[in-house]
Amino acid sequence: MAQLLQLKDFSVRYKTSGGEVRALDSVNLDVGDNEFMALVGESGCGKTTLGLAAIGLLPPRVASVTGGSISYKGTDIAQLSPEEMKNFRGSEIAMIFQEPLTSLNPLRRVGEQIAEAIVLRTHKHDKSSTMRGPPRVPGRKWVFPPELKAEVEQMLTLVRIPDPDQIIERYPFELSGGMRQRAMIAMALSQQPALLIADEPTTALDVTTQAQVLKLMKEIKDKLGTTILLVTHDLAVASQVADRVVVMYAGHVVEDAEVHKIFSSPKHPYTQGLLSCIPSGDRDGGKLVPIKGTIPDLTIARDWCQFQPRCPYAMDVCTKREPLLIETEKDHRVACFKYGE
Amino acid sequence: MMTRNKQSVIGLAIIMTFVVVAVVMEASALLGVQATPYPANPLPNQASTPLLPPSLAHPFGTDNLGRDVFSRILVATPYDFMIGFVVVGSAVLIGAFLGGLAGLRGGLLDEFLMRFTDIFFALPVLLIAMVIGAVLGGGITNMSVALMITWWPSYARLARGETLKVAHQNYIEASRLSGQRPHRILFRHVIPNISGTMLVYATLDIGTVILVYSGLTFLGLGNRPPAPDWGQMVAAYNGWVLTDPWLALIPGLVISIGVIGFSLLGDGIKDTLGIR
Amino acid sequence: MNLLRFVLRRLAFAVFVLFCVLTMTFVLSHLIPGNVVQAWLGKAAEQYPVLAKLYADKYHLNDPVYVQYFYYLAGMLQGNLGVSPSKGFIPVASVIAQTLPLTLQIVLLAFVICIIMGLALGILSARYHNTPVDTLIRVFYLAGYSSPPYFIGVVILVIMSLYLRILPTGGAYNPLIVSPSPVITGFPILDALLQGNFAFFENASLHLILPSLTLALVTFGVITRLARSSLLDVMQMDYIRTARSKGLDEGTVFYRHALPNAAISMITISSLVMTFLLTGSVFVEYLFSYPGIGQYAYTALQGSDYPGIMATVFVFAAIIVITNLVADVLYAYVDPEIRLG
Repeated sequence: MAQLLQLKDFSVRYKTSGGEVRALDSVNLDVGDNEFMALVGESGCGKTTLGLAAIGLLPPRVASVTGGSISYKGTDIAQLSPEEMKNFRGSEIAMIFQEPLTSLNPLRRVGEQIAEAIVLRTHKHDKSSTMRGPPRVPGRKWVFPPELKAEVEQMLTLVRIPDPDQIIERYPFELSGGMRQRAMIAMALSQQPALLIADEPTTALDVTTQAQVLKLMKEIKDKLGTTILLVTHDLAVASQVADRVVVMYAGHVVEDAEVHKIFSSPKHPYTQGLLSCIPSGDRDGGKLVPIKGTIPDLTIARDWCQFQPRCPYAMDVCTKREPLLIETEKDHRVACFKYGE
Repeated sequence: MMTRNKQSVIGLAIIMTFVVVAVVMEASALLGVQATPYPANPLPNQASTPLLPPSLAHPFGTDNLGRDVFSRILVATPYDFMIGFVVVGSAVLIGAFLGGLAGLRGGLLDEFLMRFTDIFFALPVLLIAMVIGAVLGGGITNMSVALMITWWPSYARLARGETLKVAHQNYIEASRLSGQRPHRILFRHVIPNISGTMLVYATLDIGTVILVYSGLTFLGLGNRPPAPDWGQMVAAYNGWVLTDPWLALIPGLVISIGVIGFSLLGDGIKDTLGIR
Repeated sequence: MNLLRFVLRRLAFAVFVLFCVLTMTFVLSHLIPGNVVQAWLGKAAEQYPVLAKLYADKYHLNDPVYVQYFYYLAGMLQGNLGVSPSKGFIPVASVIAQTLPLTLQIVLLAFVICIIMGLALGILSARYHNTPVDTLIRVFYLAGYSSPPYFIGVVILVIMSLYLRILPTGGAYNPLIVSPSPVITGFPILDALLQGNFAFFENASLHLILPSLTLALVTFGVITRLARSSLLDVMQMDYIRTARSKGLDEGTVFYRHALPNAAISMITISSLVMTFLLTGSVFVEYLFSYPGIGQYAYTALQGSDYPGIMATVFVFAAIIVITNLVADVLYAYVDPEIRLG
């Protein structure tokens, strides 16, 4: 399977008032073509940073790539100039975000925002196209040109929004959370990207809507062949839709395997801990076992295992060196000294 | 931490200079001692040559009556500068209390406060002070009262807004549920949390009061002549602006520098505390 | 029709506020220590006791307070504002009719200059923020609004009259060279233009420049500061990140998505600007000997002319209330959440 996105020893640091934070530390990851990958971990583990890095939207003054490479279809996007990176955004790599209300422009109608993306795509493929997008100043007067309107409605239908001809005239605040998120997905897909990064898209939604949106994303992956990178803190969400799960902790990848392997035979102590945290309907009267301790302070550099202070299996070597990601079984990687050096 | 911020340091330096001058002047006035190089209100035989340009002997020159401009500016400082603190201080106290209470209690008190302050917002401060000045006469006491009356509404609104942001935090709810009386919640929880924003606005505002008061003295509503006021000096020396420009320019410049000091400090605090 | 209800409510409130202003000025004018008649007529009351009595009877100055209040309001509605001792006892209403248009001329011109300067500098400041351009602009507007209007005016006067000598330094026009046209609109400059009196038009316009410029310099800082901070705030918003993720270039993101959204908050500042301009006019007209309502306010104050003072305060308040109303309505029109929701 071709690798769409490859990270090799990729490191990112943030400058904060408390010091330098190692958001990502020598991350190795391969995202395959048409794969649904879930990036799972607690807040602060670096998963969002990874997502932003993949689309080149790391905050410029604060974040810096301090090592390694991140390659999309073979090109190291960390080395690209902002101008060059811009060409990848939208048309090759797209992203949807956690809060659909604040992520959509409140002053423009939903249809206009999707139309803007479609116009971009049209101009890219056909430089001589005369298709005009929404005007610079938002106003109610702009009427959608017929072909553009048809395409916008088509996108809305794709994400299963009912009555698309009415929805395109609506403003974001007039839609429900689930509809807004679908509209965002429609907007992201308008330029037919090969990779869609979804940063906690369902966290702000209720459980039922959450399930619908996840189902939609799976459909998109199946029907359109899009590769999806889902960033989430919820392992249960990952289990519903992902092909592959990558568990992250404190800026490191700690486990990387197919979804059923993660659930049937989790290897890393942290993954095991996460699984025992999930309330499950079929465990009679079992206790929820939280992982003791808290996530480490990432401003303090640590050259040994980050999880060691909380690990029930900690050994002597865990305080000496950092465990590397090794393949213990076929297609199942762990970074833990329990499975070898 | 604040010394990292260059602008607040400059601002603070400017303000402290003025404050020191004001304190020295007020103390010397109370003690009956003359602290200025020349008397600010000399008798005709004590005066120097009129309309001298700035020099070593007279750093800001002399005016049409031979009075040393530098001394006059110094003497006016306790009034023209410190009025900022007085007015804003009282406005903050009244406003924080009323606004905080309204924000916490809500209901009728809140509605009433909003409508009441709305009316004040329609009227420029200067005009109200002018009217009060016309009716009651000028002078620093009357003007201080006039300014205090017109200044507190914006702090009440500000306090109310900030209180609303804070009041729904869980620890306030917890306080309320455990039976704390509103006054105690106000003082122990709300006020410490809204202090930051209030401090920033207050600092910037002191400069504004100084500016407004200088406008009032310009219009003749300040201290009775021959006692000097910065704004009044600009108005009085306006006639010589073409021949001896320093007379009108220097008091204006002094006012501007004072106000800039507060703007710098206020902006500096705002950046340091990260407030919008 | 949400918009209509909103407008009506605001209109009602505006009327209410004006009513309060009227009442307040009435109350204050009757707090004057001493004989009311003496206060209103000044020394003339002693010199002409018969006239003073006639005046007192006509204006009901010896009747109980509530009767006076009624006549006061009635008089107001008919446009009778009393006579002005400081202007030789001519009706206050006619003084205002003569002086108000002149002030409006400079205030409106200053408003326009202010907005253009304020917006341009605010946008520049935000676009290049944290660069020397930004710092320079900030220093400039800081100096502007920290200085009393008469100080800036004096500076300009000194520069113009001593060094540049190109613009007139006082008055509304030079009566030795030109004369105004008969009144049509009440605005001398417009009247001249409409009747082809170009000499007056040119001369009067030149006389407008310095007062307006002074007013604008003192006030533009308010707009610049707000424009800058609005723009910077908007640029931090999530939907800006979404716009970038679509592959739009920075320029489009700024002008299409950030600027319109920031512009809305600037509508609300226009009433504050108007307040600054009106109060500034008192000083500026004094400095430049410009016979507008600001100068009348000053003269009235110096001359203890209570009818004059009350009338000017009311007029200023009315202008501010109207500006407020217009701004609120405009804001409601532009913000879709108020318009539709």
